[in-house]
Amino acid sequence: MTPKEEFLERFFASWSIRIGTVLLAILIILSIVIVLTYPIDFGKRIWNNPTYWADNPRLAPPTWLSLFTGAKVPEHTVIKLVQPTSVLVEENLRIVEYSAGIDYSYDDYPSFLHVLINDITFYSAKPPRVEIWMSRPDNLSVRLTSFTIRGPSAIEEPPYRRYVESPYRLILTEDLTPILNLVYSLNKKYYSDITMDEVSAIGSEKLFFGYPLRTGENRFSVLKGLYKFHVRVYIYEGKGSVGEVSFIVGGKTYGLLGTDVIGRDLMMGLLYGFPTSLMIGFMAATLVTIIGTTLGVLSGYLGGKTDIVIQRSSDIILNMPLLPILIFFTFIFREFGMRLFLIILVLTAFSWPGLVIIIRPMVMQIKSSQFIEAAISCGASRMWIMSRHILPNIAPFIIAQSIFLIPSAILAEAALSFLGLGDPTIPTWGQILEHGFRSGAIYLGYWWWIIPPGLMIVITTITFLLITIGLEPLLNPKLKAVV
Amino acid sequence: MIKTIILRSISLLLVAPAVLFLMSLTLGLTGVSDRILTSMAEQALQDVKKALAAQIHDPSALEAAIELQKLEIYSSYGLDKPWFYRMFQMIIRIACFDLGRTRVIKGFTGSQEISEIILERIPNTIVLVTVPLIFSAITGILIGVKIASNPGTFLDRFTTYLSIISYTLPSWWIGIILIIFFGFYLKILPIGGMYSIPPPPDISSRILDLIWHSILPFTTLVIVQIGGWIYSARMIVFNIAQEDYVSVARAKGLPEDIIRKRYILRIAAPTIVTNIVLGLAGSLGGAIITEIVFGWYGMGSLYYQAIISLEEGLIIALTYLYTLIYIFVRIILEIVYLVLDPRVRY
Repeated sequence: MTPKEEFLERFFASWSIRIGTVLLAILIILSIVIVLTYPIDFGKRIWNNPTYWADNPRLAPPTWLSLFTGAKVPEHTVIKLVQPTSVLVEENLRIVEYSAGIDYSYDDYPSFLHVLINDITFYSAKPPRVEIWMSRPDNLSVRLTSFTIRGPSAIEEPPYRRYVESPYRLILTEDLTPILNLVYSLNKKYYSDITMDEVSAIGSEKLFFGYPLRTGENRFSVLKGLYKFHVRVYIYEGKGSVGEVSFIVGGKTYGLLGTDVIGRDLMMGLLYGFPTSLMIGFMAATLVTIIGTTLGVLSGYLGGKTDIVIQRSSDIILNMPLLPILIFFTFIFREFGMRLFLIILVLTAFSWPGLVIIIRPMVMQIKSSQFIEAAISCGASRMWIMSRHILPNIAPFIIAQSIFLIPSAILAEAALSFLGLGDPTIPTWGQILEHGFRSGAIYLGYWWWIIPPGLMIVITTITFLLITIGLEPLLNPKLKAVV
Repeated sequence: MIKTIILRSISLLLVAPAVLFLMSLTLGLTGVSDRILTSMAEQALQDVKKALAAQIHDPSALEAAIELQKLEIYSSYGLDKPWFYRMFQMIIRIACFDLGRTRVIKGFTGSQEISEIILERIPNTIVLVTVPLIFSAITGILIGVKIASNPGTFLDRFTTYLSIISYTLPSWWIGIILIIFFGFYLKILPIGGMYSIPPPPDISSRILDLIWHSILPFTTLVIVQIGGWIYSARMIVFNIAQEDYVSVARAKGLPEDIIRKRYILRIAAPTIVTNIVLGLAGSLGGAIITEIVFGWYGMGSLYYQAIISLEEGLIIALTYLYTLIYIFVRIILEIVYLVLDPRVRY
């Protein structure tokens, strides 16, 4: 068995290393997949852009929660129609219709109802008109609303295009006209007397997906069955088209990890945290290792004034309380941008002495051994001895130490983010936690917003800690044998 | 020994000027010190303006007098010169917490003087840092020593893994989980703050109320810290127990109790104290965030308020104060270390 094989065998003999390596492999693979699939400016363009999340339910718990409660809670449903269901051509008029059927069998009302219309093109001076209809399982058919698209301005040339960059968003459950029309039709059919003043107390979504009761506190009951929604666009002069129409029935639950207060899919943010945390950890650990090792070897081998200067300064920095110092520097430099890298730099600037203190005595011990003496007598330069004789001997130990630095860096960044000093352009787990905390998620019981990001931090830190702990017995005897 | 303690304390005390120097250098380079001094000078000018307006009634004469006063006040704050001329002055200011007034944040008594706001919070923080630290150190060491005497058993492995997990848990996350569980769902413990609103009138029930409110933050800090204690105590004791002289003592037939107390723990004590020293920085940091999570009226939650409302002066003062507290505790621990380890002579 070669020494390498023997080392590997001993390496994988320890359970903590086995578990740690498997976890690390998962973390790295996940991070690579996420870096490849997410856009580069995810933080700016998607995560911190409220309009991107406008069609998501807010503060919705995860979908799998309904498995435990038993009740059928409405799921988030998006129906996207790229092709019109029917096109009717009459002389100068072209009626493009988009219809969607939703089989509603849940025990609760949805959180909202949105209709999105994209990219309307027309050529006539008379702008197109849009009508939205709804037919319910109780045979009630209501024209919810109708409106006219903004007409061409004096300087515009046909074709006129509208809603290309961002869609026209009609929030049916908040808009006054559809609610008014619905209330009128419901009152007529069910002989009820709902007034507009009562709507906000009842909840407008109940008007759409329920029917009024004669008795009972809620006054409304969910109406199950097939709902149909129609969007009709009347385009004049026979030419023109509609790009896309979407119907969105806001769920009471969302995805694997739910949403936060502005409707962000927490799963996306959480996944994005993997590459960012690993990057923070690896970058900080690498920088600290380079600086700490260089200064430690110089201090231990050269001695004299170099040693005194390095020892005094590392002693002073080591005796500073890290978090307050980090808070101070991140806060003062916060306006300079690139805050994530700033955090890593500050972290590095105040973490290297720990490594120096550990390396220096080891270097001094090796320095006094005979093979160094032999090398000196052969005329080896100081650089040669430090890089070729001392560094390889302490390398395994340094590697173990730098693995240990990774979780500390991740935890430090998370702490700073939790204090509101995170980088607003790059979402991290700490920032998700902070946002949840600041929005009062704890006191309102939004556990899905708070517990998963913390758990991710813990899992990542444990991964590296397990590897360090497993390495300890492996490296110490080797080190003893050398020295 | 007195000499050693003094020498060690001096080298620790050097940290304070080093931090002051670094801070004022940064403040000067970034222009923050200009901002702070200008706002202090403007405040002083406002007072002078009022006094002048009462005396001088001619508008143009008043204008001239104010302009003269302004120059005088600005130069008294050193604002007529570049920042590096004022660096020493800035160092003194930070050291004395003389950083002017806050913009928004008020102290418990309504004061806006930075020094008053932070000084009234010190006791709350010290209680929150030290009590869980002492508790988890003592319990952790006892457990660690106990399991180290039977290494390799299920209990030993189980406790070791638990302590690793405890070490990695971020304090704020544990705090949040405890609040959600005990405060939100079970509703048996308060979700935050130090006293009920309104606070109970008499002293004894006030203290009980404080203890009631501190159960969760203390539990949080103990959960987070105790693992490190168990693990390090176990490792230290385990290593010493393998030494030859311990085997000799066993071979002599000494009772296990004496071996543990005189042969193992006496030797392990200084190393354990070193660990307390190293763990202290972590506990201080953990306490800052625990305070925020639990709305504890200490320096940590003041930090959070200061960051949110961008109170530079307060952040500078708090950072320096934390450094001072840290140095102070370190010196105490150095003394304990010297008492415990008769071999240490610098």
